[in-house]
Amino acid sequence: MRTFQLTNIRKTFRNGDVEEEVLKGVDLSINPGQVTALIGASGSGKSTLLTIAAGLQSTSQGEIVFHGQNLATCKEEELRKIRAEAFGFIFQSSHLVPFLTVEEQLSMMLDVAGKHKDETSISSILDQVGLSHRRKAYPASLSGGEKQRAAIARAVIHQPSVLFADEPTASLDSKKSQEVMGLLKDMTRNLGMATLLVTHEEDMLTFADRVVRMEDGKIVV
Amino acid sequence: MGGLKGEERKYSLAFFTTTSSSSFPQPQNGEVILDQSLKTEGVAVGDMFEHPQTGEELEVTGFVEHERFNHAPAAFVSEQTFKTMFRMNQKQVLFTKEQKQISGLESFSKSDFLASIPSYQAEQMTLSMILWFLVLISGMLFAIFFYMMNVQKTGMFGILKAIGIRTRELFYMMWAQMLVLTILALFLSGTVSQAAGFLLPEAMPYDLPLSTTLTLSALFLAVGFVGSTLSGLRIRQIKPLEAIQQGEG
Repeated sequence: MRTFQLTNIRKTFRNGDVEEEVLKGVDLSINPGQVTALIGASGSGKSTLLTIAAGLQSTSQGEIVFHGQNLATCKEEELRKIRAEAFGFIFQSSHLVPFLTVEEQLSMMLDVAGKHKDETSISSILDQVGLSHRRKAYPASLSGGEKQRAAIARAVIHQPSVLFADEPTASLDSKKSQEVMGLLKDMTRNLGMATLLVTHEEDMLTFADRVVRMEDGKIVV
Repeated sequence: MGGLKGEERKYSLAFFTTTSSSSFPQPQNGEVILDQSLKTEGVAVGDMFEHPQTGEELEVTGFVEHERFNHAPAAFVSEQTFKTMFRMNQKQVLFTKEQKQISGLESFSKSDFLASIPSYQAEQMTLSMILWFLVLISGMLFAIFFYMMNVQKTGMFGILKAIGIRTRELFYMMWAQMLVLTILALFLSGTVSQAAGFLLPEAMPYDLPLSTTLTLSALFLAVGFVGSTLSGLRIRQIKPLEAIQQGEG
């Protein structure tokens, strides 16, 4: 079953009188339980495609179908609700709320997604990301790897259908990058999420079930 | 105005006498009641003073709190002593609780009377300007602090918007943060400034009533609210993606 289908996605940016087409008719489906990695050179359009798929920016043309609903035609409030309940996000920086503990970050996410605070699921996710002993810690006292693991826990605590990860290991060293990617792959399998990963690090592709290469706004592989 | 000579030095004082008043002390002939600021200069009950012009001997029988005329400590003496010292029968000032027009006398309200004291208005105006200018600067810094604190976290707010938090919840978050910090700051500063009133020397003209502290606290709370609301309005306008990209930068 295809959870997420992008069809003929085009995106044009206008800079004064100059128009630049960044995405030139992209078709892509991402499937539950799989990590789909988007790779390509800088400016190939991979991050733009991810943010369009996640409903963070509009498309100039095309359809984004999620469980039968075309996100390209949704209103802002409908998109916010879908992002809160069905999507998870991990970015290059963890962007944790500085005055909330790790545990509170997860409680907040459950609250945003309209789910009850569930101590068991919080403990289970913290166990999986290896942060059980840091559940009462504030972000300032966490290492870079711990912060990113906390961000992963926050992204999946509400069991989203789709996880969007934009360069999640860019700020980590090689060893921590491997840890984080291993964790992402396990989470994708265990929770049955469809994960769309943008990365420029070839080493990370071993963790992907499918690799999609982009060049000049088009998918080439 | 005048002075009294003690054993070691001379004190400049503002002399007062009253008749049948419950608002002021009523010393007996040969007695003087002084403002308590003289206590810190070593004056004690039982000390003897001499009036240099008349040679009148006066014994200190007590102290009163915060009784000064202009900057001179007040000295209350009996009507007879006052007449002997200043050689006049007529009262210089007649105090009534309510303002009355009395034939042959000029009537002043309390504020008019204070304004008639030489240089009082000029001095008060300068002090008030310094005071309110400081309040204005502190208020601006306070508002800018909350504004900058939130705007610096644009990336984080962008992520929160991206993951689906409503803008109004971001406002609640900013206001809650502002409330916690402001209440803590006001409690600390209020405690220190009230404690200063007890700890500073009597001679220092420091007076900060609790009502003023509470009024200024309310003002700063309002200013903090404005600062955090303005930053919230800016964050409301920003798109999640822009905010994330700024934060990544």
